[in-house]
Amino acid sequence: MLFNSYEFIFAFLPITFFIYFYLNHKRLTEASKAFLVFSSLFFYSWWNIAYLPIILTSMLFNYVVGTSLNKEQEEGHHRFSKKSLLAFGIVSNIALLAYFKYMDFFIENINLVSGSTIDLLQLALPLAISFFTFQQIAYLVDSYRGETAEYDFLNYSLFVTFFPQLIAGPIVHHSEMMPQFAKTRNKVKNYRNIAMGLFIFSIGLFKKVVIADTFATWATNGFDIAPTLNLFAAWATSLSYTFQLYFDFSGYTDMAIGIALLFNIKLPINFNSPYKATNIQDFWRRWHITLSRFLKDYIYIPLGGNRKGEFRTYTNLMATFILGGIWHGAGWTFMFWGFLHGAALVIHRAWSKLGFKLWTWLAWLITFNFINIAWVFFRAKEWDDALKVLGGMAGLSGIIIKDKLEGKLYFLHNYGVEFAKVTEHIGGDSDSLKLIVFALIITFLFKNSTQYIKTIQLSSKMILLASFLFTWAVLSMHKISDFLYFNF
Amino acid sequence: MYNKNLIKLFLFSSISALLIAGFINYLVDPLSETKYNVFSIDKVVQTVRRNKLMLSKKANTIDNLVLGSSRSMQLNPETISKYLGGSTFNFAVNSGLPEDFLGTLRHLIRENKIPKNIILGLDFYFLNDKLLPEADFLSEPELNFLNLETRSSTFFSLDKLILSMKNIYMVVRKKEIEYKLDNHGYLPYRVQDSLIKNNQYDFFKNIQEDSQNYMNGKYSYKQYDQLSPKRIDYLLELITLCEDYNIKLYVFLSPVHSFHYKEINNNNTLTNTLIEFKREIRKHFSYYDFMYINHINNNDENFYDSVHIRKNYTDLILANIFNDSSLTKEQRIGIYTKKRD
Repeated sequence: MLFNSYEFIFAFLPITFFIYFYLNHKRLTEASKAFLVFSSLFFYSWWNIAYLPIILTSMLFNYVVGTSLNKEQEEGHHRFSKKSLLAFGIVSNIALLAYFKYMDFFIENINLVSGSTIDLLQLALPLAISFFTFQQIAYLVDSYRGETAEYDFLNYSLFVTFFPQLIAGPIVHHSEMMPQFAKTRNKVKNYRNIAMGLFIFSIGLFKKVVIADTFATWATNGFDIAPTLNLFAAWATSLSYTFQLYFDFSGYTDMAIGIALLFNIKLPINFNSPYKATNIQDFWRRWHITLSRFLKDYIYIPLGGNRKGEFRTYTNLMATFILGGIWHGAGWTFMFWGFLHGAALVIHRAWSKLGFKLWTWLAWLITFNFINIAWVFFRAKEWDDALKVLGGMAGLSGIIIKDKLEGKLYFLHNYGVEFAKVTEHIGGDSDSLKLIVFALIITFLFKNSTQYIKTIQLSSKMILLASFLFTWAVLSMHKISDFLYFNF
Repeated sequence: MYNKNLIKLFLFSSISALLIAGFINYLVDPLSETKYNVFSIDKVVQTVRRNKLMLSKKANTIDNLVLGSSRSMQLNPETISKYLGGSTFNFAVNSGLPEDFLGTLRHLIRENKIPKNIILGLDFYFLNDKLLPEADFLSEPELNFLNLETRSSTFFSLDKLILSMKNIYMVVRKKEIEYKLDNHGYLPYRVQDSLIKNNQYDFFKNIQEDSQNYMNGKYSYKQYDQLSPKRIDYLLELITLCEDYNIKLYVFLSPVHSFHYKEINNNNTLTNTLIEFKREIRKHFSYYDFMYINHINNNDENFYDSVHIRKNYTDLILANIFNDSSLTKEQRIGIYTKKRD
């Protein structure tokens, strides 16, 4: 079920909300939790019930291993057996992820290198597997470190399956979720949270349905359909994807935060105006914050972080980001995207060590363009698609200027410039470039939704604004599209 | 209490706005999705199918009927009437498919406007199994016999609301809807012809780009590797109806520019599909084949793009089908292919 679907907004969400609080009102606390788990699993199974056994098995397995690690902690068994148990838990999780997500990629490469013809498994990727696997690996590691309490299975299930965050994050940490599920105060309807939740949900829905989906059309046409892209069409394509991804994913996160708030649960923020970043390290503090947190806490620091000398720090950064790239998808382009970000972080670190500084506007310009170019590899299905877009951005596929300007700029014909509809190949019109510039101004100059939420006091004007955005989004919803982060 | 009121305000304003939008869309019905036309107004959205349906209702009789896709929309009714006599109506529609032809004929039979002759322009893409029925077809209850969902099942749509408001504006300001077709369903390519007249039309560029779009799967050749049994059945039903109502059927396979034809030949899948297609068509019809390389199809100026032909060429096709004695040897094109079971 999509957050931006009629069945979710007008059926699933209100029904779940009312039954959950009705059960709590009747003091059936455990039943209300069980109902929330059931609803979440129903929500998860809506796409394909075949995925259900996978998430249930994964949940049960990790709960058993996590509980055993906790018991080992209490009973003071030897460190070796604890370590083995943890290793077993992590390897099993990674094996599950590898089997479903990376097996075909592995076979393809074996076939390519050895000339063999091993058949691909062509397995359907279980929804949200990357998210719930990472979430549970974090739980196992923390159980090993003795940082988890002994949760019962119902609470643990709710932590993993809670539907607002189940499909595409934020990647929540047990320490920020479990206490909230336990709080008695959270079991009573809180009208301030409900009003705020509706407000945030409306903003997220608008970001996704109205803004991101508009950019999606141009990005898809540019990357997947257009045979070549002229200079401006190529920039419009890459920038469209850059904005599509941001508004899509941050819109999803806003919706998740808003829905969770209806149930008195506060999810961590995941975005903080990432395109305002003036260096790549700053970007990763603002983009998909919960993934960055996971990568730092469970990969970078265990690898040694910055504690083992400069060279090792650089290696750790590269390794962390290449793994981050692979986490997003089974493909060399994803890996290369991770590599680019790792390399940029290494360069930034070395640069900072040398004490160099840039003007803020120049630092922003370089950072934003690097991110924009790196997204080309992230989005492209094939290397050729990426090269097509990048070649176009470099002007290698010609320059087309708006036909209306031909009279004034006719002399440019001598330099190979053509005059026609600039964004025709990506299905755009004269408004496409304007909207891209508008999005750039919004993301760069304005506060983000999280900052607004922190500072505003809800008033009837704000609520009417939210209602307006909600109505606009619902009326634009008949073109249903998936969220980009579903398959990561 | 304050927050509770805010929630009530949110719910009340959102639900009211949605209901009002849905109600306006239902009353105006800008895409003619329901059978009811509450305000009895002409719709601002005039699809080719809607236009042709309305125009065909105005025609007293239809002796000769043109069926086909946009490639046949340039067949001039006047020229056909010159050869066959009587009145001609061109019911060829954009992205027309066999279900369109069958739906149209069934509709005209219901309206008791049974033609004596049908000129059916076949296109190579017609039997592509991967093509979905056109949304414009599905949204016309008088043509759509497939019982499939129309283009959008909801009236809670902003796009529709904008169209509804435009429609209301046109009614209030008493503005006339502009029709692009003439009374016989003929669509002149005014924009292109004006560009050609001013020497601003790049024939080769249009032919090349259009052809590449077909080959890249952007248009109707998308994943075209097998013929649709359903669409063959629609054609068979059309033949049966023609036999039952004593309608004479003239069939031709529309031309494509030689560049386009060569591109098909460079693609193994499409080449095999074309062979299969012609074999299948021959099982059911005798037809004139204009889809091959010849000096007319080599001439860029006979085409607007790689598949849409200009009026002089459509006249030439009709002259060949009706065996016009004034044709010179050079002008005699089209391979007559006899039906072979």
